[in-house]
Amino acid sequence: MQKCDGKPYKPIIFETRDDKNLRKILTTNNEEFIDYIHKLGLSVEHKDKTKNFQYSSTTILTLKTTCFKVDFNDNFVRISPLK
Amino acid sequence: MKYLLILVSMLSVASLNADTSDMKTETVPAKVQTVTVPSTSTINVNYPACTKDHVSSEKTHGHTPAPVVAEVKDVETQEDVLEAEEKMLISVVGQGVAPMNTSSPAQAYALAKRAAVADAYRLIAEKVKGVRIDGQDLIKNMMVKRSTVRTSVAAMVRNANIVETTFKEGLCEVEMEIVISHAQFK
Repeated sequence: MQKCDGKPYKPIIFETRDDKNLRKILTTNNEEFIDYIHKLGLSVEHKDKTKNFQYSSTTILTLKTTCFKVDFNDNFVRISPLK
Repeated sequence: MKYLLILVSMLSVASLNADTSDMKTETVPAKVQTVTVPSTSTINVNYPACTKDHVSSEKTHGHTPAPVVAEVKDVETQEDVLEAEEKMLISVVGQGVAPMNTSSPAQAYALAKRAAVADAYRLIAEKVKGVRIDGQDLIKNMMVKRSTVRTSVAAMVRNANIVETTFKEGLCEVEMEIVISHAQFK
């Protein structure tokens, strides 16, 4: 973990339900969080090969390295990427 | 004697004229034949070079001439160009298939959707950045031993939106859109 500088922008808010475990909150809301984090930036690397008419492919999606500011309130957590 | 010679020459001229007139009458039916023979074929009737005689003969035979489809249009696909100060919407549909060995239908759906999303991102990357294509054929003794085509793309995609997701018979389809502007490519 390293300290990051920058201004928070475009936050996403999840309900905590009295839970302070960020991993658990993200697992619960994983679909929503993945859609959100993909929008911030995603590296797409795709390779496919057709050998003697037989097709095979590999697509690698890599998230952009980003620092986040995480604020826990009473019932919500606010996650904002830093720019 | 002189009269005899003149008479003979007059007779030969008359016979020559008679021969040529006979020849003319013979050639007329020959011409008619050449006209009527092609009129029986339906392919040549509609050519623009055909005479009225051909068409009329077609009508008498009761054939309906096929419409002439001889227009050759230049099919030029215009490539979309992103003008300055303008935005362009790109829409793709990614497809993903659920694996056979899943522990639950929910897992199958989730994996198929993830594959469809990845495919949609790949399609967007291909549309915006283009595809690199490498091909290689190995031919030995005049026969193709190995034929390989490789394609690849690498891009950073931001702000793509999932518009619609459908799951039917193990196939998940994800419609994805992205708005790109000229400023992003400066």
